[in-house]
Amino acid sequence: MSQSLYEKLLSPEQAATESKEALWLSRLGEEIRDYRTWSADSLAQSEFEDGLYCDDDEAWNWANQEPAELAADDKARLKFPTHYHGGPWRIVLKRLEDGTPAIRIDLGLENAEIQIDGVWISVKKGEEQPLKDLEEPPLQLRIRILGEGSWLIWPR
Amino acid sequence: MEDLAGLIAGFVDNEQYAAELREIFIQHVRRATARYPDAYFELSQKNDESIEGLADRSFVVCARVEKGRFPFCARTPFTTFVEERFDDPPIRYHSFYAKLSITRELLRDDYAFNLRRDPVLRWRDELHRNIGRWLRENAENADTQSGGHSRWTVPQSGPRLIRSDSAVIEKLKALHDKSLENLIRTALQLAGQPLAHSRLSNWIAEVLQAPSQEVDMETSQLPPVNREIREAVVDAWNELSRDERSLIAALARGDDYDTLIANVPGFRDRSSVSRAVKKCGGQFVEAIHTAMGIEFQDANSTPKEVIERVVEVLLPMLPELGQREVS
Repeated sequence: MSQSLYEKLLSPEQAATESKEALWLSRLGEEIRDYRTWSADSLAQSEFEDGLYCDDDEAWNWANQEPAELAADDKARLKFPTHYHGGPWRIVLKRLEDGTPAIRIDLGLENAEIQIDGVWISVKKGEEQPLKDLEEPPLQLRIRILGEGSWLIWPR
Repeated sequence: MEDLAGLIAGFVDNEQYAAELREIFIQHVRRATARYPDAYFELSQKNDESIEGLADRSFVVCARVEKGRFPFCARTPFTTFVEERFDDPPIRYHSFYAKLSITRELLRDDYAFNLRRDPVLRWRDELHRNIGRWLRENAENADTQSGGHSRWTVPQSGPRLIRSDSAVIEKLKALHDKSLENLIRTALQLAGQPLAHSRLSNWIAEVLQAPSQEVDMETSQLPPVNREIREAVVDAWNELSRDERSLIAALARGDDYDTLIANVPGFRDRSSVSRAVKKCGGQFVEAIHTAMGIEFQDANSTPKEVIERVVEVLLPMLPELGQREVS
């Protein structure tokens, strides 16, 4: 029993002598361990450890709030106008005079497409483009220019 | 309405109050995730469905998954809350709000999963790793916070002005030399205080331009997992016994043979492990190949793609396989 499971199943030399099921299973284990190694150094783990989006004092305050207070806070949503900044972009989501939501690129590049409610729309810089069905400003904007690049920006 | 502690006690005793608990979980998960962007959610979409899905998974982990770290100490969170007589605030803290809460751990894992699939996020992750290499070679590790993470700085003399994120980003964008080294060094100097690695990465990602999503999509490895494959993996997993599932978890952790034998009562000798290996491997290989429409092949030529498919389905479904806990 002293032989390690790794030697038995996971080393290529040993695996070659094993059944095809054992070989397959060893590769599955290896793949999962590779993923875990990769994720340990990922931006996700780093943001988690650095506490991005999460202040410990605030977390404890929220944990002490009663459900009624929580329900009241849940109603707070982004309102028009909301300004988004990031990279070369300054974009505003606002209401037109007739109340229709609209998007305008104040600073940025030409030929941009912006994802709104899962749909990519073309927006010309400086022009207000109505967004008839938009109920509230999104928490982030995803922008792309074919052949040039993609951006992800947040409200400021 | 009964308090959270009372509902959990009823659930642990005889599986009562599941519907009430689910509603409370959704309410708190919605609050805890209020500031997180789409990238942290299943399929990179933050909506009612993904928030409820996260609440459901948080519930399952709290009810069924034994966690090794404090305060759970090899118990499920619900069992811990009952045995330690926690009242509502610490239950809410450990379940939803704390950095190391069950919900926030699942958010991290979903984000990591999305980082591998989304071209823009993958670019940000690669940038983050490159910045990490530079920091380790060239910067000073200024201090370690109570959470165990590092902050970085570069030596500089004279008084330091602490600037806001947006002020630093504006100055970085105005730089003529936008090499990564110059951006990192300048950002560390402009910040005026030691910086967390992820914060620095997010600044620089705003200054640099992500590659075109379309170009990257052409080189991305796999299309999304279809429903047939997902169901095949889940069915194959559900057919495994508890001991056989333990075997896969042991392989994922890289446990040695002695540890496996010691921890799983069903594996008392070598031949019982061999039988389990053959059964687990056989079930997965056959189920996945059938679902993907690939002929059952010799294991030597089993495509990596098939295994990636299984991992892609199993890891989000089974947090214990991919778990990385901080004690």
